[in-house]
Amino acid sequence: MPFDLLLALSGLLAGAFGAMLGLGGGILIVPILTLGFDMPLTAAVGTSLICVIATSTGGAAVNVRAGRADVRLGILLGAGTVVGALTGGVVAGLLPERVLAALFALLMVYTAFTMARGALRRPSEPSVTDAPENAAASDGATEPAYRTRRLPAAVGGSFVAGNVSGLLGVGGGIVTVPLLHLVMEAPMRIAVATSNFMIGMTAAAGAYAYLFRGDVDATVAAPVVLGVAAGAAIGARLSARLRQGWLIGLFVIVVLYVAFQMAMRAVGSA
Amino acid sequence: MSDRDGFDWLSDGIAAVLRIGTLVSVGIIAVGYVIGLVGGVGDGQRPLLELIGGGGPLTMLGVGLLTMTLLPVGVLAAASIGFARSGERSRMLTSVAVLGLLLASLAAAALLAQAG
Repeated sequence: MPFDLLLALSGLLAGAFGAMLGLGGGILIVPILTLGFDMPLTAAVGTSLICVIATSTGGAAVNVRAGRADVRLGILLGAGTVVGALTGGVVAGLLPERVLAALFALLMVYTAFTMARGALRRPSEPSVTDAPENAAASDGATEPAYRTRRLPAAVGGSFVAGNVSGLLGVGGGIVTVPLLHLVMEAPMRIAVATSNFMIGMTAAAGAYAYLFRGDVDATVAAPVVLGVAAGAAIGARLSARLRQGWLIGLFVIVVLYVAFQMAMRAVGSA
Repeated sequence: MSDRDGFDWLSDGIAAVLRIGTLVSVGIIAVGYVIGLVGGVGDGQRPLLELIGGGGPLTMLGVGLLTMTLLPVGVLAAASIGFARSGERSRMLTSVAVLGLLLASLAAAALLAQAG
């Protein structure tokens, strides 16, 4: 199979997967480009950041119009993730990478456990809250009205999400989806769509440096971005049809996969 | 909050920016990519300004990738307009602040690339 077609197919899968789960797809794209296509890590990360934007824009175009993405909440938390992403590089210099990776792996295992337990206890329960204006996303025909909780904690958490994203080179969605669903108690479908809306802003903050510096190979990025854009549009539509329990189950699997990768990095095997 | 004509910047406006912007950027990248496949393309790993100045398909790829990365800026601009029109002052200030951060990041990246 031609090299470019493989790149486009990889992008298609990552885009669909990312839009379904509120991730940017970077956790797939970076390993695919580095391990599968022998691309240097900096070029893979730069390309991945542009693909995260493509996943976000392709999916959010569908989700915002359908009322699934909570724009007000997304921009408020986006402020935290953007600041976090911009400061991530500074913090990265203060802690050893292995320590960060170990902490992140622990956080992911805890997140997976909590999400799985929550899904088993209350599979599709919408929640109620103290911030009624955030119920804007309930305009969508299929999503029940909801209210979010613990806004100040979530804003702080979004800063951490952006920071972790900048520190560890993973999509911020792996943190913002649990933040929206577990901390703020937004329904999983709203959490996924809002996270998908937010990650474009977070990725853009970091992408400019890679793009202007010449760390992105445009001839490689082009087929991947084209695949991602198509995959994201498909994934956003699939996400609306999947049952909440399936979304959570898929997300838990991905979180555990990332936790495993981070644990391997912590012990020096990856 | 909708205008009198029913156009809501926070949903219709943002969705339009995303939909049109994605179509335009993906379209430019696709055309540049196809031209490159047919007629050949040089080294694509260059600083953005060199890429855009490279001519032919490289210029299209560079412009397309830049357009794609500017879409979040457009989304925040549309959101700022929406919040201003609906009188949500604190949310408008938040979106303008995030917009400023992204533009500052863009300017810093461009300046550092030129200096380096």
